[in-house]
Amino acid sequence: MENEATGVAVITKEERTAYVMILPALAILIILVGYPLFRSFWLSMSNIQVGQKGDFVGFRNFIMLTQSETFRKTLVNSLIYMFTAVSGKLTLGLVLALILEKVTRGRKIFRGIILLPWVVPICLSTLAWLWMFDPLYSVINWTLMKLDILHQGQGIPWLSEPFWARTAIIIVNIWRGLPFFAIILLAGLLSIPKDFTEAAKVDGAGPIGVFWHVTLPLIFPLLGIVVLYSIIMTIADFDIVYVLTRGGPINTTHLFATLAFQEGIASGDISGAAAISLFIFPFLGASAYLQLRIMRRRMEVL
Amino acid sequence: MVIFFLLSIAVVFYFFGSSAIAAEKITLLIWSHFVPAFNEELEKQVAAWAKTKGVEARVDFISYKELPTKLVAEAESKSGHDIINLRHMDPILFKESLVDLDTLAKNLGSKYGGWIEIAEQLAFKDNHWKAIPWFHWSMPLMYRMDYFRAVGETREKIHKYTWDDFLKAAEKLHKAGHLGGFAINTGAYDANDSLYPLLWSFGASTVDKNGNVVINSPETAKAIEYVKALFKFMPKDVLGWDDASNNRYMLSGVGSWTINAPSIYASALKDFPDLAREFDHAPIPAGPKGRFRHSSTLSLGVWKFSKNQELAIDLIGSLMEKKNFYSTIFATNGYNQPFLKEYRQHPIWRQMIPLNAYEPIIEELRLSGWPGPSGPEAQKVFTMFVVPVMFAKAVTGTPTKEAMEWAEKEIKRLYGK
Repeated sequence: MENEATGVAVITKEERTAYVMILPALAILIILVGYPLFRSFWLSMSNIQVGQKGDFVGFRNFIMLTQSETFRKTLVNSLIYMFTAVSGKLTLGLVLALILEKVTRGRKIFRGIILLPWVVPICLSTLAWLWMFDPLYSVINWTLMKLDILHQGQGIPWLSEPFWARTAIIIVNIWRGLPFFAIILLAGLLSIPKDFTEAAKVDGAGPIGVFWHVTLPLIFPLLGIVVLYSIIMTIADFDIVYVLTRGGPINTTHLFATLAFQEGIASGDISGAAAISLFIFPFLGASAYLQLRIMRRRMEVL
Repeated sequence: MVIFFLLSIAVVFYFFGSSAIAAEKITLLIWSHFVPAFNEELEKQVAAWAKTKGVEARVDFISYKELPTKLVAEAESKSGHDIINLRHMDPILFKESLVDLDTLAKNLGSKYGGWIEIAEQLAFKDNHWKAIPWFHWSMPLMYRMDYFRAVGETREKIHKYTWDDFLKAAEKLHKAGHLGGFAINTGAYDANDSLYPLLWSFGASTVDKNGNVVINSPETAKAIEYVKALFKFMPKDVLGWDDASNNRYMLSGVGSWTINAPSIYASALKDFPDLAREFDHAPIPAGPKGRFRHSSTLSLGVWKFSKNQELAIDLIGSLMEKKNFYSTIFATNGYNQPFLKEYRQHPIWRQMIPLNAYEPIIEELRLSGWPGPSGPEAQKVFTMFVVPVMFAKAVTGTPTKEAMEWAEKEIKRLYGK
C-alpha cells in the first residue's frame, strides 16, 4: 500500500504476513522450477557431455540444430501433432460434454467411466495400445478384417508407415485427453444459468442457435484456458511416442521431448538435448501468457 | 508446511542415513537380464562373496531402457551405486567419472588367455582400463530349419551363405509364404546390429580409420541396393519393428529368419519346445569384403565417488573368475559370451547344436564406429539410429544418393561435437 502523503511504500503488518506465507511456496518454485530452468539454459549454451566438464559455446547448439534435418522434421511433427490432437480433443470433448449434459439417468456412473482413460497411468494404457497396433496381433486390424472392411492379410501398417504412425499417436493422445476436455467443458455448461437458454428459446432460437449465440460465447473463456493448457501438455508429450514408436519410422514421429531424450540420455549429449528441449519454451511461454490474459479478463468480467 | 516437514526429513535422511549405510554396504546397479535365471545366479554369487568378506551387498536390477537415464543421473549427481553396468562405449563416455581398473584387467587377461579385440575398444582409453568388459551377446543369423529345408536349403549351405545366396533363399521363402526380416527402424537396436555388419561386408563404414566420415560411398550404395532387394522379401512392418517384434514374429511361428542373439531360442526352449527344435543360428552371410558380426556389450565399472572402491574392485574380480563366469553361461543357456579368450572353450556352445555358430564366432567381431576410433561419437551415431534410418529412407523411395547424403550430414554433426 502506498502512503499518499510521502509517496513511500509502507508495508502493513497484514501484507508482511502474506509475504511470509508465500515464502515456502516461492522457495519450492525456485528450487524445483527456477534452478532446473536456469541450468538448462546454461547447458544449452555449453558443450557439456555426460560426466564431463565443458565450455561456453554461445548459440552453437541452436545453430547446429537448425541445420539438422531430423530436428527440422521434429519441429514440423510437433506442430502437426499439437494442432491435430488439440483440435480433435476440443471438438470431440465439446460433443461429449453436450451429450453428458443431457444424460440424466446414471449420470455419476457415466461421468466416472468417461474419466477412466485420464486416470489410468499413461504408460500402461499406451502399452495396451501398442498391442492393439501390433502388426501380428492387432485387434483393430482383426476386427476390420472380420467386418470385411479390410482384405485378409492387408492390415493397416499402424506403426511402420509414417502417416499411420502419426495417426496412431494422435489417436492415443486424443483418447487420453478427451475426458479432461469433456469434464471441464461440462462444468462450464452446467454453470450457465438456465434463464439464458430459456430466454433464447422463447425468442425463437433453435438448438443450434442457442448453442451458437448463447452457450458458446459463455463458455468461451473456459474453452480458451482448456485449449492453451492442452497445448502445453501436448507439445511437451513424451510417453505416448516413447512407448509406441520411439520416434520411428524414419524419425517421423519424434517430438521435442523424445528427440531430446534420445540425444541427451541415450547418447550422452546433454547440452544438445537441452537446446532441443528449450525449443518448447516459446510455445509454452506464449500459451501461458495468453492463458493468464484470458483469466484476468474473466476476473474483470466477474 | 507438511511438505516442508517431509522434505526436511528426507534431506536429513539422505545426508546422514545413506552415508551411514554406505560404509558397510556394496551396491550394484545391474541391467535385468533377458534370461531371468541370470539375475538369480548373480545374486547368489554376490551373496557368497559378501559372506566371505563379512560385508553386506545388494544388487539393484534395472530394465535395459532405464539404464542410461540412471547412469546419467548418478554420474551427474555423484551419488548412487558403487558398481555399475555400462553399455557399449559408456566406459569411454563416463571415463572421467570412473576409477581405473588397470591391475584387475591385466591380471584377468594374463590368467585367462587375454582379452578379445573388442574388449580394448570398449574399455581401454587414454592408456587405462576404465571398466572390466563383462559379457556380450552378438547377433548371428537366426532361422527356422524346416522352412529353409522346404525350399531346398541345407544347414551346411546356410552356415556358409554369402549375401547373394541368402537373397535367393529369401526370395524362395517369400514365395512359399514364410517371410523373415530384421528391424529397419529408429529405436530398435536390432536394426543397428543387423545393418552395421552388412555395411562392413560390402566394404562400407560410417567413418574411416582416422574418424573421417565416409558413409557417402559407392560401397554404401551397393549395400543399400542389396537391402532394397532383400526388403522386397521382408514383411513391410520391419519399418516399425522394435527390439521385441522379431522375437514375436519368430515365436508366433510365422517368421522364417531374423538376425538376433539366442534370446528367441531361449524363450522357445522354455515355452515352445516344438519350435525350438527347428531353430538354429548361423554366421552372418558374407559380402564381397568379408563376414562381420556386431555385438551388444556390458562392462562393469566403479564410480570415482564410491566410498568402497577396494571392495568393489574385489567383487568385480570375483564375478570374473572362471567358476562364477561359467555358472552364468550355464544359467543363461549360453546367451552370455565372454571377453576372455579362455572362456570361449565353455562346452555349452558345442553341446547345444543350435548354438554352434553363436560361439566361437567365425565372423570378424566389430563394434559400431569401426574402423574408426571408438568413443562417444560412434555411440551417438549408434543411439541416434543414423544407419537404420538411412536404410529405411532408401527402401521407402528416397533416392540412394539422397539417403547417403542425409546420413553423411548427421554423422558429421554427431562427430563434430
